[in-house]
Amino acid sequence: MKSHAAILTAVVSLAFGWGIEAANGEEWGTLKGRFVYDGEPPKEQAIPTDKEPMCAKHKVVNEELVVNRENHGLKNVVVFVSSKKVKEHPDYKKSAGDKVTIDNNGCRFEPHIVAMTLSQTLEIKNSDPFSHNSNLAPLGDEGINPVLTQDATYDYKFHKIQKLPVPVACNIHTWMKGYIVVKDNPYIAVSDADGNFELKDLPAEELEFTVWQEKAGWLVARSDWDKKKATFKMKIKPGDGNDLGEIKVSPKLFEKK
Amino acid sequence: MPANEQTWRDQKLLHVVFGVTSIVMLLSTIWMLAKDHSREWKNYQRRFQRLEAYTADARLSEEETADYYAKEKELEHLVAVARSSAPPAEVVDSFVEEAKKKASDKNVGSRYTYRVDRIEKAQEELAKARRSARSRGGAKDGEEGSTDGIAESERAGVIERRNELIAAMQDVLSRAKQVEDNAQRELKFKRAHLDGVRSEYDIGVNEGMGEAQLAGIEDRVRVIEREINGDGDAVYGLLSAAQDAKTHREKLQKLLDRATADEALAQKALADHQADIKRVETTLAERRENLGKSFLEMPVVDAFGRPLKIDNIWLPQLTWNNNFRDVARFDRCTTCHQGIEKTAPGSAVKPGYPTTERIELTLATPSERPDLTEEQKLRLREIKGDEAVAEQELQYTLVQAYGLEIAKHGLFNAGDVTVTVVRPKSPAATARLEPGDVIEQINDVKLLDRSRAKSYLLDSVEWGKPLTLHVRRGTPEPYSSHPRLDLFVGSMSPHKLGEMGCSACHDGQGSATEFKWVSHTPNTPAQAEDWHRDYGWFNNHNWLFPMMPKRFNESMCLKCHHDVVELEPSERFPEPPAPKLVEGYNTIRQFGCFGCHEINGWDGPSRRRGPDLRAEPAYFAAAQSILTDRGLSDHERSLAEEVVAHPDRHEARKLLAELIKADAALVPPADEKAPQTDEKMGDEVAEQKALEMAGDAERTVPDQARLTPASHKLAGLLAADEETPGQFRKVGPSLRYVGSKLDLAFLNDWIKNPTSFRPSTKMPRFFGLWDHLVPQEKVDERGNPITDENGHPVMVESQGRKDAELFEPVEIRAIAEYLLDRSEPFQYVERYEGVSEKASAERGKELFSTRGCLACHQHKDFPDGKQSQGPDLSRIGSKLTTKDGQRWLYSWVREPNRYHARTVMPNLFLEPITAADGDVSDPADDITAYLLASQDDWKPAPVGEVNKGALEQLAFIYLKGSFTERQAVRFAKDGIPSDLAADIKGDEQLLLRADGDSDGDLAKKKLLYVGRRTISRLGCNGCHDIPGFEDAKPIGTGLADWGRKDTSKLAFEMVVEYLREHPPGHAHAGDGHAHEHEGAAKEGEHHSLDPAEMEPNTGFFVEALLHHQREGFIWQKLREPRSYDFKKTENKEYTDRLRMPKFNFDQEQIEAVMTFVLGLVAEPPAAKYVYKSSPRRKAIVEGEQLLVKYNCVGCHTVKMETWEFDYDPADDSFANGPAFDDYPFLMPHFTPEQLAASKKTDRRGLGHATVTGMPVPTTEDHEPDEPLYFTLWEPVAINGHPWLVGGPEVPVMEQNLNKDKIRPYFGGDFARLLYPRAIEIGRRDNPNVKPSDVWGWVPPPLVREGQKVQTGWLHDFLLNPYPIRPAALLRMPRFNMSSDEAEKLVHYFAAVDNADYPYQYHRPGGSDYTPAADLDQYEMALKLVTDNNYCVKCHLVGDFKPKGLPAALAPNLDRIYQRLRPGYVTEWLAHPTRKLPYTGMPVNFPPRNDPNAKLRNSLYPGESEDALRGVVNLLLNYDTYMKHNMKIKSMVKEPPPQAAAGESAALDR
Repeated sequence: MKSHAAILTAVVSLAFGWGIEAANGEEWGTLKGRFVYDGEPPKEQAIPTDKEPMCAKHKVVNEELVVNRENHGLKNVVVFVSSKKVKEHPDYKKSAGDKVTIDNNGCRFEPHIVAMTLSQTLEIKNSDPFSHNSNLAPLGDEGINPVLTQDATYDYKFHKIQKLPVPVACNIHTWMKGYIVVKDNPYIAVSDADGNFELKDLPAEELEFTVWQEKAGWLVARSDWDKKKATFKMKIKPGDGNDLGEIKVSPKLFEKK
Repeated sequence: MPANEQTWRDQKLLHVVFGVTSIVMLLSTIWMLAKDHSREWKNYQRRFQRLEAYTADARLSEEETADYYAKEKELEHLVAVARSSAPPAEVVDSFVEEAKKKASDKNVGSRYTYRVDRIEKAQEELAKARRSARSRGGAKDGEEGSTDGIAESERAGVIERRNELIAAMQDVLSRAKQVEDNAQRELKFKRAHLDGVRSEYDIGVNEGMGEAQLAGIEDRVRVIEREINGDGDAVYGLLSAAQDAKTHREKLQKLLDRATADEALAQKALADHQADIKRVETTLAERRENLGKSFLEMPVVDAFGRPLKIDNIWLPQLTWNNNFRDVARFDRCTTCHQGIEKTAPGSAVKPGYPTTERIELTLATPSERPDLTEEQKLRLREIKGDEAVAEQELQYTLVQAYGLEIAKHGLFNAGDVTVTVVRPKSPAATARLEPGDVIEQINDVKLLDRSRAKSYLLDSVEWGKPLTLHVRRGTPEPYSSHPRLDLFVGSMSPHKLGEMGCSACHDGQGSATEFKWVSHTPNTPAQAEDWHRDYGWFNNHNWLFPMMPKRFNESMCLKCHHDVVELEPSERFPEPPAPKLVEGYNTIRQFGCFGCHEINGWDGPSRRRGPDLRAEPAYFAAAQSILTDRGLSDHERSLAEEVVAHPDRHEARKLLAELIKADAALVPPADEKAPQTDEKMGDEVAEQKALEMAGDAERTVPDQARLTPASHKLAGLLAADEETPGQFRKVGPSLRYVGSKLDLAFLNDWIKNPTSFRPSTKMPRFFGLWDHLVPQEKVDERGNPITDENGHPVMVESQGRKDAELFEPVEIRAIAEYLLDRSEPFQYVERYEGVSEKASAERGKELFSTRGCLACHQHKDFPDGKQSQGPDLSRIGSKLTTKDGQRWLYSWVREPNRYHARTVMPNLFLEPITAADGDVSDPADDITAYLLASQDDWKPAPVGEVNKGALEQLAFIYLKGSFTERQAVRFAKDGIPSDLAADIKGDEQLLLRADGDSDGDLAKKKLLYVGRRTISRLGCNGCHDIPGFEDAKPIGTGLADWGRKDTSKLAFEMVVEYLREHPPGHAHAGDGHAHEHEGAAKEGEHHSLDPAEMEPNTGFFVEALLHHQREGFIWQKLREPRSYDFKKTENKEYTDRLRMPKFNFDQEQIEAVMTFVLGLVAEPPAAKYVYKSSPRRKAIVEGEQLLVKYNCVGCHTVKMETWEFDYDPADDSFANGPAFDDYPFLMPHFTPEQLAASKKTDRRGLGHATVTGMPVPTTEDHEPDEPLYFTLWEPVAINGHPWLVGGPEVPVMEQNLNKDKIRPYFGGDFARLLYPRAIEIGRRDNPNVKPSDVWGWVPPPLVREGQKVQTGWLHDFLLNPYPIRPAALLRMPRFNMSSDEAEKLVHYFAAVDNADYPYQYHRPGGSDYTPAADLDQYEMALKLVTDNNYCVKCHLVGDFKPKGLPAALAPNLDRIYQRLRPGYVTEWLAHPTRKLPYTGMPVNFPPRNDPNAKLRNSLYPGESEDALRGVVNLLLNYDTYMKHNMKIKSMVKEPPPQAAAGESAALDR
């Protein structure tokens, strides 16, 4: 059975003249799932911004733990493939040199979590009508802290993958915090407002995945996952049949140790 | 009597006698020679020569690897290539041209008979030869490479041709030289001639020669001068000829050198390569046994050739005292200690023969046993020859498997498995094996010989599994090198062997050449036994200077290092040079031993003899005492106050003394004077006198003294000038106002046993030390012991014990009463007005933890705080239970210097805090409340009734000293009658009875009298400032030369007996508990006192005690000071008992203190040996002392942590180094040598680096295969690449980190303690607080402070600090520091950072003048500064304060020009993290790709760097600029002209 992805790959590779490897029958599958907060959603915690007149009009909340009030979906959970030397679907080559943008917008970072590969470039942007600075200090890599006035942009290239998502902050508006996930493979997903995530076009083989959440750190949501590293192994079947279903996340995991 | 043939004695007998004596003489001569031949030291020297040869052999085989030969071959080939190359044609052409030019010169050409044609011909032939050789070698024209394509068979021919060419050139050169020499000679002769003619002229003038004749001589002079100097084109002067010849010759020489440069270079490379091996070979040749040497070493012959001889070091200026005469020192120690200064090859400081140590290593094994291939065997044969192959197959298999070679036999034991070669990057190298290591054990198997090594390294190995090797490394004594050759003995060290010798530092008998006569001193009893067995060592009592045992090696540093602190680790010697000694010194300083035992380092006013630890003159105390005199005038009062705050200000002190003396002169002579009952004046009299003073001066009776006799007495003390006054403060708190904080119960309990309230106290214990007061046998009336039914003697408490139990409580009470009675009134600090909140212990607790209290104090609520500058405050509430005590605490917290003008406790600026809701709280009150709530169950022991009988008895014992026994009895009972007042002096005045005294008054007087006498006796004033004891002297023995004190003068008494009953280690000695717990039955039990069976450290000291040595005496004195009174108290007056208290020392502290005291030998060496620091080092040392004194380092880090680690140069992180894309002025300047040095790799192929900064804390999920990260605070070169501050963190693999060599940070514990608290506090307002920002809220590190701030500013700031960083949780407190101290600190920071001191900033054009163009620039820069996108977003500027979170606010920019150095401001603004890695300050003006270029350009046209420099200039000229913008004229309202005129007219009138 040929998967939808494989057909697509074949078409794309024909069109561009590459993808010899795709032609020899490699198979790809997509992993899905949904993180659900297993408890009463916590109250939104507003951050007082009244001391800074420019920001006072924006409502800024603590985004450490964002739970959908209606369906309890858990936003901003990062899932990525942590196996070494993962085969990449040829589709990803198109975006390998892309710019990935994080925007200072309304006195917060948009998006809150950015996922990218080492080959991509991070573009930091400021859409606010006043200046921010963006303090980014990846471990063992060159740190930056540019001032960005209105509409200014700044490009940055990572030299090293980062084990943990790298925080980006503004020293003027000290509540501002965003994250950049930098890996050497493109299989990184961040759950949406409903808690859904999707990793497309994974090689159909056994892979190791790791789950991280801002407040909890390594998020061991299921008991069969590795207790320390929050990893789980899974054999990816070709096609769409890889669904983790609802992953219930216990509120206990977010209690401060 | 006729002569006959008979002899007087029987000839035959005489023959026999002669024969026998001859034989005896022969035998004794032989015996003598044999004895001489086998002298101990000769054997050592012979063995050391063997050791050297052995080591050299090993080095040779290590160097002579196949790689070495390949390299040598290659270099030789390169030499051959160079020698067969054609010299550059243009060089030869220039040479020829130069020669030809000269030869054709019209003036001198004829002298140069050059054969230039030969050169040209040879050049042609060489070219030809090369062409043909190359064509045969198969190379094409123009093809050059590492080989030049010349057939090797042809090379010799080519070389010959080339040699011909060079010879031809050399021929030309030597001819040129000839001509030059001739010209020089001619010139010299001509000049001599000229001088002759000139002197002829002079003689002519003298002798009155005629004009004409003189003119003739003048002409001759002129002619000769012309010949020398020439005359334009007409005459070519000799001078020009000589000069030209020289220039010409030099030119040719240079060209010839260039022609042969290739060859010279290749030759040098080859020679360098061979140099190491040559050196080893030379050593080997010298050391190896050979026939000639063996002959020279034969008995008798060795007296002439002297291959072995005694080494002498003669030190005429480092004398030693030989029976009252200083004689020069001869050290012969190196006769046996032959390897003492030998360094490892290629290093000036690494010991060549390190001291023996045993280590465990892990050696990886390959996956299978490697065997030699045929090819390898062939190669082996080539290098080593046929016959060696079989034998060496083992070696080569070892090399294959591990990169390891093993010697055929060991050096000292034939069976030792000794490593000779470790191949680079091999498993052996990775395991850190080194040549010379002896493998003693593999896994669990002990190796007894080499064959077993083979079997366990090759035959029975589980391949792929690592082996554990137990390795002995180093050389046994006496052959090993001195440790730390960087510091001692080495040629680069400050204590060079030839200059210092050995015995000056070690003591011992330096001229002896036999082990037992040297007076070596063993370090433990076990070692003593070993030495006795092996070398016949014995304890030689007759030699006064036995060697220092190893444990006290550092003592002797004091001979030359009088200030001690210079022995702290420094830049040059980062490893502590004398840690134990420094520890001892610090302990003595902290515990204040010098309070009783003066250590006077001066022998006369200018002769220094050793360390100087004396209490400072008591000016401070005297002035305080005088301040209580109510007769003082205002002027005197203000002077006294100045002396209290600044006793170092001599003018005020002297003036005050003079004024008081003038007053004292008004006092009538003693016989006319009314008796004074007390040194204090009655209040009424004083008031009366004060009133008189305050009245009209003219009306005051001028000849009546205003001041009290006590003040008069102190004037002498105030006026006294010492040439070299003591420097140290008393270590205990001042008790001058003790009544204002403590009550009788606490004082009583505290004096009785200070550790009861505070276990960590430094105050020693004086009372209850009764272990030595053992029970004694009960006797009947006749003095015979009474026995019980079993025949054992009946034991009863001794009188000594009974007396102690009776008198001590009285003494304790008396001291407390005296202190309270004499306590002076204290002005408490009043609470702030307008405080709306009640004191809250809860708020106080937070303030306590954040306002810096924990930087000096400990508290049980904060177990992570470990500082001990101030006392532990965990139960301070139990101490201050009275209302006064509580008021006092508030005053102390708010304004410590109110209580003690010079206290090291700073003023923390605890000003009222207005909360968001408008409530005002007083932080000092809150902290006080918290501290008072810090209590536990501890309560002082209840104060009982005074035993009147005992009090009287004590008074009697003291009175006996001044009166007859009968009087004493009477006075002790009834006091001294007042009619005797005129004759009573001193302490006894306290007992003078007044008419109306009740019994209670009398009892009180007795208590005060006994109290005062007890304080005097025990020397409380040694540590405390006590009213009435201002001029008291220290009570203990001076220690300045204690290290040489004659042991016969030490009173050992019965201490050995005591130790037999209380053997060390058996019971907790000295604190009284032992006595209580052990029943009386155990008392009197005797133990054998065998040092050898004790724990080695204890054994050493007991042994020393048994031998009546100083070490033993002081050890026991510090452990159990009163034990020397054992069985002595019965025959002593109670007050004559030993007084030394017991300090709360552990064994380590005792040894440290001993190390210091034993070094006090007062034998100053010649001036050149005494340590003198460079000004820079001095500044650093003085500064560090102050950093400790004021505990600046409690809050601030002044040195960052240092890591040493290895790395793989091929690792991604290090192969290329981090990219640098920044302003060039931010790049650190590493020299090419430094960069090259950073690339060096070791035997394992790993590089080595040392980084300084802060390790990034590891997270919980850290995996072993992940690197640790290190944030740099200093730039560093790693693997040839610069790594910068503010760049990436350095990744270090844990296994590569040299954990023993981590040098910890210095200072800043409080900042680190506060950091997590600060994050917690920050999270209250902002859950996303950035951890790196929080570093900005705690006390900042002061690393590179000297490069950062201006010296003048820092000085003023230290004296009067103001808040700089608005976000900080606490502000810098104000210390009671003198300007002199502040200056020393400023100097310290400058010196540490090699910054200019004093710093001077010259503004262009001077400070008052600013060119208009500059003003325009400032104007534009101000636009940038005030634009809401730049500086003012966070920074305060002048009166502007940005809105926004307080945590984001940054320092006011209006004082930058005073505070920071210009270079720093530029670099800071250009890239803040390059200066301060954690800063949140963004990069405002990046050198490239400025994202805000458009906005910036609109404000400040130009490039980023222009804007950067513009802003820097504005900030540095802020005051000048603001002055320009400030118009005063408009502010002045001038009065109308008429009014002005009128007023002045009025004045005229």
